[in-house]
Amino acid sequence: MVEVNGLTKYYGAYAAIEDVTFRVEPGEILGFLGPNAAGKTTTMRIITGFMPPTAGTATVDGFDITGDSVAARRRLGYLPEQVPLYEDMSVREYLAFCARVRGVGRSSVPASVDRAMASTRITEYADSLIFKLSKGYRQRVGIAQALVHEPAVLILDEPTVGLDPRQIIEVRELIKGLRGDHTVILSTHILPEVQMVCDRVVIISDGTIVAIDTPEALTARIQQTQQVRIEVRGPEMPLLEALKGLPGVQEVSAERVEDGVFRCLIVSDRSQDLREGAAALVIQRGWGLRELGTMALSLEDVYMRLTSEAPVDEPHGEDR
Amino acid sequence: MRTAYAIAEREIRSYFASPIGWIVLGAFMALVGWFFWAAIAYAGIGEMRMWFSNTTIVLIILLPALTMRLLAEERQRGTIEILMTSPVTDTQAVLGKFLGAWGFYCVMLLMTLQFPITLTRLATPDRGPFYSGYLGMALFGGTFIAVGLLISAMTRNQVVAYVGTLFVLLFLWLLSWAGSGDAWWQTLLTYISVPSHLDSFAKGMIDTRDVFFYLSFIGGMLFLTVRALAAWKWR
Repeated sequence: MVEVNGLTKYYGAYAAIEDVTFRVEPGEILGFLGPNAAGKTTTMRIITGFMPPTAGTATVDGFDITGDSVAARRRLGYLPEQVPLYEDMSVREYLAFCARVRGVGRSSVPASVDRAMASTRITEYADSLIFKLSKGYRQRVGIAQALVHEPAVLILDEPTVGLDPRQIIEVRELIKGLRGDHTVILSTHILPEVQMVCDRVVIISDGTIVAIDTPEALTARIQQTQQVRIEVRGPEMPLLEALKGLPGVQEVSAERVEDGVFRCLIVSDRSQDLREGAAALVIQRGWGLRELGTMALSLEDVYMRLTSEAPVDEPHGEDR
Repeated sequence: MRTAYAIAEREIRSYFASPIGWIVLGAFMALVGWFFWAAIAYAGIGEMRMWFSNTTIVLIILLPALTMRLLAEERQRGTIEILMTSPVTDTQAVLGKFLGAWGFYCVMLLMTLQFPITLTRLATPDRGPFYSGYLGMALFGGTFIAVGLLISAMTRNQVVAYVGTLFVLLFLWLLSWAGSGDAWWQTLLTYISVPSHLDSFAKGMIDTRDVFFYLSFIGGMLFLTVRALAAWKWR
């Protein structure tokens, strides 16, 4: 649905992006992740036809964004990061204007506007002037304008920035609801958002793509070791010695939780799953098994490792 | 054309929704109204020719206030990003902006129709110069708006757009003074001076050369605006 090939953009001598290549399948939600000034907005602006690339191509539904720009843009809905709106218009007037300039027939405009307002839950503010709306509702108007002409492709640049927690959940649910009917590129720096909403992730750093995959596959690729966390009631030294004796164990550390209870972290080869062996060992010795689980790298760890020089020594991640 | 019309319609509504539109309209009516009634009351002039001439001075001051926001404000507020990522060509965007400002200007002109109507009630003047004069004023204002639109496309600062347009319009107006003479260069200056082409309209004549001048001037300015917009996107 969206194909980006060798996209490069220079501002003078400065390369904002270089040789950016990725593909978004129909109905997919793709997360576009990267630190500030990594080139996310530049890439989005090129795909939406707002600025031309220095080199490379981008196509939307088969239409080249520079060669057949109007046809490509007709299939796009775009929410820029700052959500620029004509504040002197009411929500209904503004959406009607957006529908008209995007080729919706005059007779179909009211229905398109009503549908966009209903899906973003702003119908009750239809006749309010935009400058009177709160930031959350302005964000919704921004999403509604991107949806009003029912585009095949939606490009959303930081759609949840500045929203309160409840609004963030609502916007995420709205985006998830678009899966299947729309192809979505979602630029964000909020990592849980990517894990919750996106099918695949593109990570960009310093203008070049450093990874493209599902969040799970990225985590698995980066993780070199497996780490098992086990909480046991028993004697510290015998416990450590016994755990070190398990096959493939590289390192074991323990911290005291309370009297006679220790939380141990067992690091082993990635190929070794020590959970069953560790559980059997503890039960066999007659110690109390209170908790057991693996520690997976979070997407945050993956992101930090891919976008910075500094290695991520230890997962902060979640238990699985 | 449908897209350009939608943009133009939004612009006209925006003028009526903003203080700047009402201020320009109010100032225009106050100034040109004073010119009209002063001509009757103090000089006993019962025709519109002088009024058309005086109105050009008012337009030099007021029209830049209408055009300064057209593209500069879009760039300043970022709304141009929504507009230019819609299936709108640069030409449609520029044409829509021009028609919007020109449409509002035509509303301003329509409100002055009370003056010739008053004259026809008070006396029996030749109506021909009224019709041709208004056609000339519509075309004349179009050239000023096209200049303002071009300058608005070259900056994101509305004050710069206003001052820049005012300066260029004054320059175009002063060219007619510099061009009063028979030398070839004076003839050339007179030809490229925008107000000098209004004289024949005010006298009741519609000279196709003047119509051609105004239309080609507007077309040239709009073409340059499209190029300026494209150049800005490449930067």
